[in-house]
Amino acid sequence: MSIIREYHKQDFLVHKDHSALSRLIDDQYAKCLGIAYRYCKSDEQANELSSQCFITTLKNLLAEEEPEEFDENTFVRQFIICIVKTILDQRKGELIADTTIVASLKKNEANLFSDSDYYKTLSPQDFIQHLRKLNTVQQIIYNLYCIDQFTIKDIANIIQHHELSIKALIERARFNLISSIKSIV
Amino acid sequence: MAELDENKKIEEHIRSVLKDFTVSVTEDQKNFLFQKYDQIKTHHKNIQFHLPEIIKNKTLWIISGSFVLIILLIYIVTLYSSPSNDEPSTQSISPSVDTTNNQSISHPIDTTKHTPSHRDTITSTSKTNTISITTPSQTNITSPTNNNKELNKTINATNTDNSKKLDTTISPQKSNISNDIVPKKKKKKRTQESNVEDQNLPVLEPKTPEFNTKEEE
Repeated sequence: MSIIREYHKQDFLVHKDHSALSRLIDDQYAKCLGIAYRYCKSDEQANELSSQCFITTLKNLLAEEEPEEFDENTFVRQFIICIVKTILDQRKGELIADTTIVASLKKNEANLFSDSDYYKTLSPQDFIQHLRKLNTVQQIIYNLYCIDQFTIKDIANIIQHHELSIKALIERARFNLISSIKSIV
Repeated sequence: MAELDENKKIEEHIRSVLKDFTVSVTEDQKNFLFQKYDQIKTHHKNIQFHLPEIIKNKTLWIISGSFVLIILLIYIVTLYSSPSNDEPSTQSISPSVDTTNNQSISHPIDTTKHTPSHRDTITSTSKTNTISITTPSQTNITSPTNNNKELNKTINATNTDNSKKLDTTISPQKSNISNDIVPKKKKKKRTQESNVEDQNLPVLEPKTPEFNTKEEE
């Protein structure tokens, strides 16, 4: 059981004292940057958005008077919401409709030559590359639901879309990602 | 079923791998974050800690309140003045016309109307030199002299332009020796004193009785 770290808001507001921020960066920024790599389409975009959303999340948390503390889970969750909204704002014109088509024949062919533990040889960067092959909305929804374990209701609120369409998008994203992984193997 | 189980295993593996995926942070990225945080901190302090002090400042409230009141007053004045602009113009013009008419026209008319009537009565008496007998105001001998003095004073005060003429009229009153001179000057007086109401009539009357009394004696 890992101990959940807590941060006092007043420590961040002390004049000319970066110790609290330094601690937060040391504890959470590497993790946040990894999350940004999963959600973004490129490493450059991930670096840019992670720094922006990290500070924005901290500012929003400090702006709230109560509670006087926040833990790392709250911070990471707020960071994910911030980065998702930022990405969607940048891609407002993109349609939610699925545009990634993976042929069922490819899936069958992959299964024919696949090993049972073939996916275990893949690195996190390989999985991220497969995630980036999905369209933006599928990538976001898969990350939110399957990896970060947001509920469908929360996702619907974040993306401002109906829950049923979110469910459909989750299933499509799963199918497309696994098909993409199996196709390579 | 086997495919579904395999898919679930793949998903769980992806989750376990990517859930705790981290990227090493460089010093440049840290410094960049510190810089950004400093900017936000100063902005945050400016907003959060100075606003209450500004709101609590009473002088600021008084100044802003007075400013708003002045603007409201100006607005109300403009609102009420704009529809009544026509009325004051008529009011301002009509009285001026009336005053000019009263001053310039009414006085000449009054003089022309009143003086002839007085002249007629007086001249008739002066020519005949029987004024003392005919006039009914003989009993009031002392009072008209006083009235003369008072009237002259009022005339001197009011009609500054006619002061010289009034002086000439005063001197004959003191020397009531010659009958011919007195009525002529009194005529001038009456024309000038036309603005004064009917009080001119007794002015001439007491002088003649005194003269007549002397002659009789």
